[in-house]
Amino acid sequence: MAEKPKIKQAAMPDWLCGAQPGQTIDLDVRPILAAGNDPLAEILSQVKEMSPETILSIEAPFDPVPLRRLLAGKGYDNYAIQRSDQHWQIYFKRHVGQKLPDFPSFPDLPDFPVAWRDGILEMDLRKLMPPDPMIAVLKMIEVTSDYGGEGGAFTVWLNRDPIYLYPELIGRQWHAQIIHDEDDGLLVKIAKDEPI
Amino acid sequence: MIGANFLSGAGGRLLPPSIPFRYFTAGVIFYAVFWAALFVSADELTSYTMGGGPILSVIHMATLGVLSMTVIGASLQLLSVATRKAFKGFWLCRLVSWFYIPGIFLLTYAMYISWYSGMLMGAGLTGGGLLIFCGLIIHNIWGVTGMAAIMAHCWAAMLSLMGLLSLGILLIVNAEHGFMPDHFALATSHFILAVFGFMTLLAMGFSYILIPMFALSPGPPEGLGRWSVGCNITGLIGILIGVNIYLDWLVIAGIGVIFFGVGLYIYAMSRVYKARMRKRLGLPFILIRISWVILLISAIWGAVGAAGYWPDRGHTLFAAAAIIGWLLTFLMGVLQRIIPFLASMHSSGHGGVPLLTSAMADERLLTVNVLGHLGGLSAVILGIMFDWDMVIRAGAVMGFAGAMGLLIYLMYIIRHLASFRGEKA
Repeated sequence: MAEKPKIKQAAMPDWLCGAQPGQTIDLDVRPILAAGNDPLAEILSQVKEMSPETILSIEAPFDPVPLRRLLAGKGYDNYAIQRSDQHWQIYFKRHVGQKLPDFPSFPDLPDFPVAWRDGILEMDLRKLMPPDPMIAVLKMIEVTSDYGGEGGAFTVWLNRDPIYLYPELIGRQWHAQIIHDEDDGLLVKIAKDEPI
Repeated sequence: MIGANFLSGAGGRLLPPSIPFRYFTAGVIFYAVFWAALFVSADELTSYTMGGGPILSVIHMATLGVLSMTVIGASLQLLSVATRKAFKGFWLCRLVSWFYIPGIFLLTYAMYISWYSGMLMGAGLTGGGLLIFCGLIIHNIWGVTGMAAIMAHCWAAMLSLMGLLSLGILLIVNAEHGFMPDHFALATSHFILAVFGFMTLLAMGFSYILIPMFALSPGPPEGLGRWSVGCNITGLIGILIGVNIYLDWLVIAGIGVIFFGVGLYIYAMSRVYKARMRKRLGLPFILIRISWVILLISAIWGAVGAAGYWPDRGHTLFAAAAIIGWLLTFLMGVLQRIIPFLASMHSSGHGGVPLLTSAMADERLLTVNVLGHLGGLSAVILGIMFDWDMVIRAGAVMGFAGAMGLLIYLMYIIRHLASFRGEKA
């Protein structure tokens, strides 16, 4: 089983908590980056060879948000732990179940981590400055018919209670439900209103 | 789902409606009183040169009564949401109003009739309220990480507030006892700190959240905000030093740096505007866009004045453009969006779903406000340019009509909020 994170953050997913010894492939890309090389080819090569049960653990000196986004779009769940200031460990595992589409790109917003959790898209917007989290949610709603699970639902991690988002959701016949509210942030489920 | 969870947690970060709405109501009342007082004193406007009397009172009705009043209400509401730090002592938020609102009434009345003791007492009450407000804001933004550009605007605005307060009280005492060698330089510094330090910096800082939020657009790059506020602070310091040690070149250089900072701000806002998801932005954005144009014109006109090329009444034109054209116009645009939004959030209807504000008040009243304000602004500018008292008076009538439109709209909203809370209780 993977080591528990040192910094309080989102709950570790079941597939990682229940990981067996030998199920994980480790790849430390810090030396590759230190040598001035791009480790992407090496990572994609490892990903290509992974079985659905395998978990890929990547150690990097920063949070590789674009990589997480890329692999999320290819159907890989991910979970990141910040071990120290310049040491991140990110776990990837192929999502079991339906084939997942590529993640949409929002070029006018800063990068943010995305993941699939049990077939539902999860966006971590905690590092975005307001009002970008609200904009990311509204942009997601615009394209959600292609990406959302459970009738378009998706979840977002936020730092702040999205009070300015609520009226916008109402106007679009969507709603928000806070499903986790702790020091590490709020996990909010965004879903379409059910027809009356 | 919406009903039970719609405001889950949000209520804790939204202030009780009585707090922001008391400032908004007082601000809109002062907005109407400002136009009325301008109507009465129109013949003194074009000859005014920073002394006491009715025009000094009219200026403070706009700056303290309308601008600062509304900024206090909006800041208390917005900052607690943006920083995730709720104001714990709501009584302190209320206490500000108990000092500040009667303080401004007394101060502006005393200024109008040149009553020295009244001015001093009014300034003491107003200053007391502003100091409590300043303490609340500093406590709220202290240690906040992220949003560096917005926080820098807030810090600089609070420092400006402390500076302008000190200078304001000094000016009143000096008007009676005359111990300072250059009253004009002090008054100019006070004006610059108030209009371009405190109010402009807060307006710009909050723009980086408010404008993208209203327009549904990604925020502008953080770097633009940082450079802009850096230029504005540097320019302000340059101007203040230049004014007080009589270095015209430093004043002009300061205005030049501020012009660059303002340009970056406008560029950032135009990016937001272009990337917006909400295509129809309505009346508030007509006001906001006009205010940006006038902000740029004010900066250019300021530089013309510093270079010594202002014609007669150039300084009055500058003050009118900065206070009515830029700040009041911008603020009316923001108020037209914030009032309906907060009212909607605080009056969840059946099942907890927020009501549309069109169900609470007639939105044509907002059109009256826009037309009245813009008509009033245009006529006052024209009247100053050509020294036509009657045109200034006509502008004041239009402005007053616009203010009454907003006031009636606000009264409808408040009556709705009160009846909703009564039903809820």
